[in-house]
Amino acid sequence: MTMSQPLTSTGTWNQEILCRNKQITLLQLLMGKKSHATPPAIFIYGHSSTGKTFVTKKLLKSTEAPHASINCVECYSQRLLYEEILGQLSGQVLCAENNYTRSSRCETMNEFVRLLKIVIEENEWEDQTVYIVLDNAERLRNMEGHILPVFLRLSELSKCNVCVILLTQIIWEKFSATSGYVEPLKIHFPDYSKNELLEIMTLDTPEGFSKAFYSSYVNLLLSVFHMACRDLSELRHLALINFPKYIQPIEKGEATQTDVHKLWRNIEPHLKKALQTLFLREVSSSQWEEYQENDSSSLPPLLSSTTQVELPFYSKYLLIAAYLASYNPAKSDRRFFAKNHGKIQQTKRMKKAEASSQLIGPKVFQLERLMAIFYSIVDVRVTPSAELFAQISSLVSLQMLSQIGSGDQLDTPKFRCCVSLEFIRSVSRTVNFDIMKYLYEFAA
Amino acid sequence: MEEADAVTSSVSKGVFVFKPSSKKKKRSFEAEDYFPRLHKESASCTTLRGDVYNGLRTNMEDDIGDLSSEISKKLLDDLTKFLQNCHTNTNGKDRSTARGCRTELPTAVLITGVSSPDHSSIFRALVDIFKKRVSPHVIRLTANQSSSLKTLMSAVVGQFIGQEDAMSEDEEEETEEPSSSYVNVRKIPGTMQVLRSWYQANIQTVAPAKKKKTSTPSPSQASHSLVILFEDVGSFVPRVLQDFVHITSQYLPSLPFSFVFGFPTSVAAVHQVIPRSVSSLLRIEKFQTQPALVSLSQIIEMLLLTPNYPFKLGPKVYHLLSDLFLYHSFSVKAFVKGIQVSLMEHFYCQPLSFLCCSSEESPSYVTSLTHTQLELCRSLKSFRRYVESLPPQEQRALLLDDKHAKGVLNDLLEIIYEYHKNFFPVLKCLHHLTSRLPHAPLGRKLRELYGMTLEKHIVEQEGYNQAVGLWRLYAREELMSHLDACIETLSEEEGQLEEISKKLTLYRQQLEALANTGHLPAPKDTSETEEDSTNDQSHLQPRTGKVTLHSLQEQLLVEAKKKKELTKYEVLRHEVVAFLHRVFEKILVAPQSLTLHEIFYFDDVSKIRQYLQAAPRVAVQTALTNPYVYLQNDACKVDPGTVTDALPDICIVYKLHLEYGRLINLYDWLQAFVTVVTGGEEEKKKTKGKKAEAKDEKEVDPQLHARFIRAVSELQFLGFIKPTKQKTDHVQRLTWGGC
Repeated sequence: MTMSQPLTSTGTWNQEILCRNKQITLLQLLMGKKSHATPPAIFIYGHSSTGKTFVTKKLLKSTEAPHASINCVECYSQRLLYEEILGQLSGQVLCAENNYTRSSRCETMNEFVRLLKIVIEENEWEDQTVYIVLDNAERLRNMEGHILPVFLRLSELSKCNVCVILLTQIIWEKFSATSGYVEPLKIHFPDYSKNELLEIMTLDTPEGFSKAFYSSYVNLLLSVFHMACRDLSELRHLALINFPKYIQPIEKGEATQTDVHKLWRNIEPHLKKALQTLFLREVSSSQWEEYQENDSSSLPPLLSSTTQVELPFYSKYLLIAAYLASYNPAKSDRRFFAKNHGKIQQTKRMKKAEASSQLIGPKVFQLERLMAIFYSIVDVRVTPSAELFAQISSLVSLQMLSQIGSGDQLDTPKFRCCVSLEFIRSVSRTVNFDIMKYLYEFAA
Repeated sequence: MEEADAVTSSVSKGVFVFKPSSKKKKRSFEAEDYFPRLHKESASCTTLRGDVYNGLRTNMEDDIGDLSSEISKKLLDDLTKFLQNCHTNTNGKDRSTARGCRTELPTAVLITGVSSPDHSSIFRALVDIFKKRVSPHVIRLTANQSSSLKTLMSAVVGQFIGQEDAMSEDEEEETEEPSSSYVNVRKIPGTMQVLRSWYQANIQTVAPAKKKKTSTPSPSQASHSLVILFEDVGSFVPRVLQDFVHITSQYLPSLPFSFVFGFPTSVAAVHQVIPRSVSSLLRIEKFQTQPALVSLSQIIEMLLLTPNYPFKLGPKVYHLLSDLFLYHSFSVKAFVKGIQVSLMEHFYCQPLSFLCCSSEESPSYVTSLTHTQLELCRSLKSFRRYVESLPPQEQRALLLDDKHAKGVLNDLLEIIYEYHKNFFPVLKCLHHLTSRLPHAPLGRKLRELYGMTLEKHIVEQEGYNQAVGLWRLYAREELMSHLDACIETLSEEEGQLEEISKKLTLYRQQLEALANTGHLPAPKDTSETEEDSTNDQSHLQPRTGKVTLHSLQEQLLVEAKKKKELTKYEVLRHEVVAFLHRVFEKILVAPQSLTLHEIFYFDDVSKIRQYLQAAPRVAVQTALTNPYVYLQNDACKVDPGTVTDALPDICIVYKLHLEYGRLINLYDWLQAFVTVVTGGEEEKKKTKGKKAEAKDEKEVDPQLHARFIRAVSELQFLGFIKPTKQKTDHVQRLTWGGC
């Protein structure tokens, strides 16, 4: 997850990594010298962007130990996993000549252990520690049950000096489903504190600006965003896309670098706006810049929550009917849609007893009920043509309705309406239909 | 298979029939071979009809093709630009990645609109264009390839590598030995590692070599990004898609991927499919295809609002087609198909349709008319109406003298051509004048206005009068801008329209001059015009309201005042409006009032409805309630409400089941069935005595029993009932309401 790349090309590796000294020292102690025996497995966990992968990779690179690092997301079968590890260790290159396949076929754990030994012998690594880094190790849990235990005691089984490093965002307790696991050595990478974030982000200082200046900018940024987001990469992204706006007054010559107050007043509204779109990522850097230049007070159209969805006329009514069918109890249909519905039999006690249907969520309804409601809310006579029914399945494919049960169930297909009240209100407004009058919960 | 895939991915679920493609055989038949000979016409006439039809059809298809490529041109340009630049930027000056903050996958989100049948054609076109303009490595993924990560990955790898093979075989062999680069795509494991090594081996090494050879590299070789198009991302399995995005982002430094996501509705849906951890790997930019409604207007303007095509839709068919579009599908494709079907049907059924051709060809066709065809012409309703309006002498000549009739026919056709030529520019003028009026009495869209004019003479319609009333309130600048728009639309026309245009320009100049003269006593002039408008309103109000003595008095006072104060501008405005009214009255005649309109206007709405608006449920229910419609058997000819033994068993059972509630007791149903079927005989039995009857009720004739069971299972097969476990010996009724 932490796909951070070298921050600057100069300096030794452990100066590049800030705020992780404790973990690095621990790891270094565990690894020792090349020939030293290591623990069979090291389990490194911590939230995303806390430097797990980065630190591990840097460490292994600096020690120049033989290693293979695998992203477990990619290996959807154990064969891929094994062959990938072996391939990386033996340094084999895939190409058209070998038909993009590994020379040695490896489909079981047994073979893997055997082939691993051969690889180690061939490269004369008997007196060295071989590292296998498994990133996103939580994926191993979903694979065959024996894989994870075997990796944990790989050195024992292969009788070689192998160290497996598991990287994950999940704690160890979530891994050990059954007994027989060798407890790995656990190292926690805690979240960065605000000051640490500041320190790390200052590394991004663009050319032509002093560190102190950029640091003060990051400080401002953190004051807005730190409450909502502690993800380092997200914050760095935000810092970068908003920086040009921050220095705009300087470029225009209206302010100097020391004029912090002025700069803050300039940037604050923009940061507040960016806070609304935090995590959305809808706006790529270039579009965001364009939008900032336009300086419009409203958010760009794509970000507004009630985006107008273009739907055919009857689809709108079908959607409204579906919403009514999902949120009204079937008993109340007579009251809303029949002409002579008689007295409304709803005592206070009944009303109280029922929980809000908005909280419970949409209920399942049958196609026939949907059509009956549809016909009673559409004023004109509609031919029940194939197109009308096709619209229901097109609403399903637009994920506004969801079909319950398999799609090939022909008798009494059941649906559920998946749109929000706000959305359905805006849809019904476009067709001049007062939906609140027909909702059991809201109708008086 | 590609083709089949595209067809079956439509929204409607159902069974798809694929006939074996025997195109070569079919080629020998042309459309006209299928045309029947109507009214004993000669074979040559049928072929003539076919020829005219073919000419029109191909023209139309070409135009539609041009239009759709033009519609998507801007979008395509934007998209290609995005895809071309997304990687060059990241390598170069782009700040975010240059300093190694984070690698983001450039992703274009394409909002495609709700009509999903149109989508696959959009994407197919996109693939072709990207291959030409962006990079040769473009693949398209559909949702059914996303069942698992394995299938998705092998689809991606297989398509990329397979493509390259096909290319290198086609291209020059000097770059690489085809035999060495050839790999069996099926055996390759689908992993990114493979793709990366393939990319490094084939593209990064080949590309510079090629560049050296050809001094000017074509754009396809300039970038070698790997473009992946996702059709309808919403229906991909979210977990698989997330993993895929994850993996690709890991390889982004070595493999320049870019994505195009197709979404039917809005970008917000992206976040329903993709959680934050994954979406933060994407750099999303939004692109919007043209809204379907705009495309519709363009299509209508191009195919119908033009004198280029003599074929036109009648009001009913026009409304049906646009309703189908607006109310049901939003599918431009379906609308175009509708027009094409109407065109075909017109030529298929109307024996005189070969006269529906361009104005240059028609005289020769008219002279070649045979007597029987002329008789057909004479029997046309509009022609008869025309004849009746003439003096008796003329009538006789028209009806008896073929030669004379042909001459008149030519003249009449000429009138229609002239009518078409003048109609549309003037219609556009009217549209300019009315589209922005408050409450839009004549609609805001040109197509709405056209629909109105097709139905009835526009001047006779209520909305028109309201519009004219509003024109009288226009301020000078407003009127001038509208006149400008009108003059512009009429500027390239000739003949009658040129005169109108000249006259309008004259008015325009006068209006302009008025501003100049009114410039000197400026305060007075403006106050006057202001007063005028208020006066006008007060003048209009009493017309609609009740006339009381007081208001009458007031009105008279106002009137008296007004006559004195009538400004120059007001006089001129009145003149302009009156002139425009005369123009519209003269030119925007409803087509039905024209003689021989049947030749050009197709208005057989029931046929088109039959073709385009299938109603399976109605058909089944009609068959069951009124089998006479389909069987044409006189015995079945009964009132749909009654149940008799003459009907087929299933109809009896169906009609009986309509009387039950949600659950139907099978035994009661059987009894009712037996009573109906043996209804005639029962009366005789009654005389025999009660004993026999009682016995009869207990034991049902096994034959009747079998017939009943068969009918019930047929109903179950049709989906009207289903067995239930709620109650023994009961079935559940599934449908309600007679539609």
